[in-house]
Amino acid sequence: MLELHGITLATPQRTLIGGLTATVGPGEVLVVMGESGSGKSSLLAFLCGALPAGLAASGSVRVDGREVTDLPTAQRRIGILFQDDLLFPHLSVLENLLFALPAGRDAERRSVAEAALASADLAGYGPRLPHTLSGGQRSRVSVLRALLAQPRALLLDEPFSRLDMALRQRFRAFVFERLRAQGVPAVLVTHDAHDVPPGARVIRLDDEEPAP
Amino acid sequence: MIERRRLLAAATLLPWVGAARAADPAAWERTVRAARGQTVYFNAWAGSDRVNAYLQWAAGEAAQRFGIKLEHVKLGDTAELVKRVRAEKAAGRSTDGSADMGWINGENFLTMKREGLLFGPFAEALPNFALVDVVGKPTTRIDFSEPVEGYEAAWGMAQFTFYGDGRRVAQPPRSLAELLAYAKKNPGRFTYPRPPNFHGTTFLKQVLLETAGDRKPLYAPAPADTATLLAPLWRTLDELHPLLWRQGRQFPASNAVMRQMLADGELHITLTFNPNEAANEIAAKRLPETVISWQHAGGTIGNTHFLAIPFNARSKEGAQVVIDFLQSPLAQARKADIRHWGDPTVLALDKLSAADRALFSQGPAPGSVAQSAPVLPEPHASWVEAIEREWARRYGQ
Amino acid sequence: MGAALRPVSAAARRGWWVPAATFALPLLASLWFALAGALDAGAWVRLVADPALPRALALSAGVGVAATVLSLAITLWLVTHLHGTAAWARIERTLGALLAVPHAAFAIGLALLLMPSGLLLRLAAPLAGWTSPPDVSTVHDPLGMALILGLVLKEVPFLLWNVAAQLRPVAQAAQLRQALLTGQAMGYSAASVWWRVLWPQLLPRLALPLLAVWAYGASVVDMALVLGPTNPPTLAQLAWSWLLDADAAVNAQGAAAALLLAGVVALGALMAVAAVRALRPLLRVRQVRGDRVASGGASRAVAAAVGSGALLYGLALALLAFVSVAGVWRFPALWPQVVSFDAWAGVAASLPVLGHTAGLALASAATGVLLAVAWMETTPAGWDERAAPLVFATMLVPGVMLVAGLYQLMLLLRLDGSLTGLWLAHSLFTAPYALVALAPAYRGFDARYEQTARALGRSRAAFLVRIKWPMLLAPLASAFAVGFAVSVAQYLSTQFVGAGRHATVTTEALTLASGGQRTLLAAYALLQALLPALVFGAAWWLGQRQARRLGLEAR
Repeated sequence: MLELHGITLATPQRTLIGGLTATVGPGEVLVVMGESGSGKSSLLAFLCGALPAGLAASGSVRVDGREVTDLPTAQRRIGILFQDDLLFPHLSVLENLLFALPAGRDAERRSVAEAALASADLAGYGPRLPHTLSGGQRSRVSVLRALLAQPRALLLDEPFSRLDMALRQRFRAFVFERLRAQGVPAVLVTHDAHDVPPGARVIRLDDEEPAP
Repeated sequence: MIERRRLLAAATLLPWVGAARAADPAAWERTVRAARGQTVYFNAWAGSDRVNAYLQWAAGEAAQRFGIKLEHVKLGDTAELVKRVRAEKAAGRSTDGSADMGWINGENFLTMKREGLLFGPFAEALPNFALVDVVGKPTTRIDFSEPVEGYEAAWGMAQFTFYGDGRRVAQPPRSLAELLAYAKKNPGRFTYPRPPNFHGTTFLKQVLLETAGDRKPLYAPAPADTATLLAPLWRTLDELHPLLWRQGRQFPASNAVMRQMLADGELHITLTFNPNEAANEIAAKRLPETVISWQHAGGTIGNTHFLAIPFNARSKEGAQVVIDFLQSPLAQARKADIRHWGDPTVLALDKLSAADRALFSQGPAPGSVAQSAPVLPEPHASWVEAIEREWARRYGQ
Repeated sequence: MGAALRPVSAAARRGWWVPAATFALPLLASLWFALAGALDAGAWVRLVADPALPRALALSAGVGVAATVLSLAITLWLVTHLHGTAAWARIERTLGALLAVPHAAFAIGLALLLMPSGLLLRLAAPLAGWTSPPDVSTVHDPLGMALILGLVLKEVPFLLWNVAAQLRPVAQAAQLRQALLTGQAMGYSAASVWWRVLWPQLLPRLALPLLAVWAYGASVVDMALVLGPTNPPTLAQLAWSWLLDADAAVNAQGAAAALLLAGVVALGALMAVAAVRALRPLLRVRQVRGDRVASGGASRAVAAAVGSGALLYGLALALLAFVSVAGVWRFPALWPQVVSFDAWAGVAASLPVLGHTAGLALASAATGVLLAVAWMETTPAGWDERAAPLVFATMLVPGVMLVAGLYQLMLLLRLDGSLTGLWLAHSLFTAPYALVALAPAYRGFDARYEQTARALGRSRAAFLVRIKWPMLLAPLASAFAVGFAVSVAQYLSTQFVGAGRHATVTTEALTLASGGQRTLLAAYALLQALLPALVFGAAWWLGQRQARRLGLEAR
């Protein structure tokens, strides 16, 4: 469960977000929409614990009831996905997944990672290097990696905008299904209305007040 | 001792009496006329700003008196000149060489003469050669036991000299034994530059001359097996090294470095080839006035430094005119003046007119040698390599 | 990420090999002449028989390895903990200034600090009760530690500058930030993400600068003269003094020694590559182990390290200025007994030399940059790898050997002693440095800009002059500054190819150095540092202004 209370983000010139309050349950998605420069990515950065310089922020963030507002990124258990898949090019697909897993016995970790690959129709792709995969395959691995780290919440910064129409639909469905299955609350930032899953709460940042 | 030296000098003069022509005035006139308007590139070591300043003065005089443009090509080491001339010869450049004059001595002269890199003979045809003290200063004609034969012109005298701070060295050690005693009482305050630096090598030659039973073999070419003849040198060094700066495990790169260490107080005694160096430095306020110079009572090694003309020089006439001027009483007096350079003259003062002699009159300056010692000629050049090689083997790592 | 596409027409451009040949031919000719000197069997026999060889070789290799490893470790550690902080921006700004200080000048300043009669021990003298400088080797120590310190202090800013250059473009900076965040969001500390994810990707791009650091550390002569061991000295110093000797047989021995040293450098590089390749699988296992290590209190140590480094630099340079007026400075006084401005009077007398130095450096730097640009505009990218050994030959082959060969070439061409010959010789040395400084930015330039310009109907020349070069102004200016510094620092080529007739600040400094006058040496060292510093500053300012105007740099 992800709780946001009174999140305010402001530059010296103007207020980007004023008093945003929301609760995102397990498997639910909070969609944040707005034009470029409206502060969508900054919001995610703040939630993640990496507020860019020049921005003032206040408010509280709680994950599973735990206050994380003052914790460093590494301790928040909040994952993040970007437009670029950001798979580490020097590691194989399997190694990328292993990186996300917590420490443990080698054999166990390998089998978990292999199972994840299999569940995404990527069985056998483990030893390959990321650049040998197609865009859609890389995006799927990226999601798998983010989820294998067992995050308590997941932030998605326009993860679909690099993909073409056909891939986009399938990938969207894949992502939302995984989130639901693992019970992870998510905040999705996008500028495309098609990305909104049915029943999700949408917040538009162009408005003065956040929509109820 | 002096008698033997005079006999030796006289003996060497005999073959040359016939050959030594007085400078032919008509030929010299032609040379001076041809030299007008020439540019003379004088390749000389430029490590001392006093020498550089002196050469600037000489350039002014050359322009004014002879219409010659004298350019000082600054070298860090005379070897640069030797290499350049050798490379030019190998490339077939027999005219239009890059250097017209060079400041050389000893080992460099030998190399250049043997490889045919020098123009000459010319030195004895110069007018001012008549004033050079070839009798009292035999090293002006025999350089490192090799006859000069007119391929280089004597410019200045050098004698191995020690100097140090009089406040620390109350009684300057005037022999090797006294030096050893001083080192024992004050360990770590004396050293010598690492051979093959020529000051370092000269110190070794000095020790050898002072400890050798018979000096004659040292003036002949070195034999194949030098072990017995060099044994006294190594015995002395084995005794001396533990008492030296850094316990003889490290050596400074040059006497210039040692001079700086003396100024800082790190060393008590240092060495040089210019007997007036300490006086120079005191006058330039780089050393305190309490510094004194001395030579070993039994005599120290002395030699002459020379000016030579490369075989492929472009302005040979100009070079000869400049060299003749540098040998003139006016130029030599200014050179010997401690206020300007302090390099001893090659001229015989008794051959000069009273007016010219007056140019040289100068009382001793603070820091100059109080009691000069006899000059020991340099051993044969082949001993240098033998000494350096064995030193490197014994102490070089 | 996908590599930028090369314009298909590049390989078909006629005469593409001309710039490369302009650089390669004289270089090859010089190498040929230089190596011919080393092919004398007698020289090798004498070399191997020399008692100082094993120790000198071990010293050169040891100093090189230690300096390279330490510099790399410190650089990685500093970047890991400082990147992204305000301190990093400040450090980036001063890097150019630190790089502009010539190696020899810095070494002299450092020696003035560390030597027995230097500042540090004078400060300690009252406590230790010394009245004379203690008989301890703080510089010229037999293990070369003072030299290693000097090298590390000079190479860390160089490596930092290279890293900063890699990370500065906006695309790179954004990707870096996101990768860091991704890793941290998975529970890793920022430092862990650097060590496991970022450095494995960035280090291969540091291969060339590291090669330069290793080659320099193993074959450095001027810093070794001031700080390094003397009995025996490093092999580089021995080779240098043998090559400068008047005796031809000794010259050949020096050429052989230089060749041996070059071989050691090449061998070391190959061994490093092989070691990395062998270690990579082991490292990867460690990277994906999944253990989350808490970030330690490294920040205080980092701050201390940066502080002391800056202090050492500042002190070294300040001492140069101080000592240049210290006429007589007897131990243990902190203030000189006699303050004299004679040294500066001497410098003032040779001001025309300053002008000549600057003019020559400007001309050869410009030529070097032009040659580098011509190379990269015409030669297909694939040739970069094939040509890399040639480019690096000028850095790996000891300078003395190269100059000896170049001088022979100039003799044949009858260009010796002339300003033209000197300009060409200097350009041969500045070109590879300009190439190395320019290559990352130039090759990484997005090819789509050209495609766009062509599609808009503009000629190639128009594109270059109005789009590409203005966008690359910062790297072009830095490459120019680097070439300028290289030209100013030339001693051997000026003395030989120029037949000693064209004095520069460096030849004045080094010929005076042989006379050992410390005040004059310090004054000239400062002067030697001043010229490149000015140009580096101008280049940096120009680059910053342009980049800000075009929004090219991450803030």
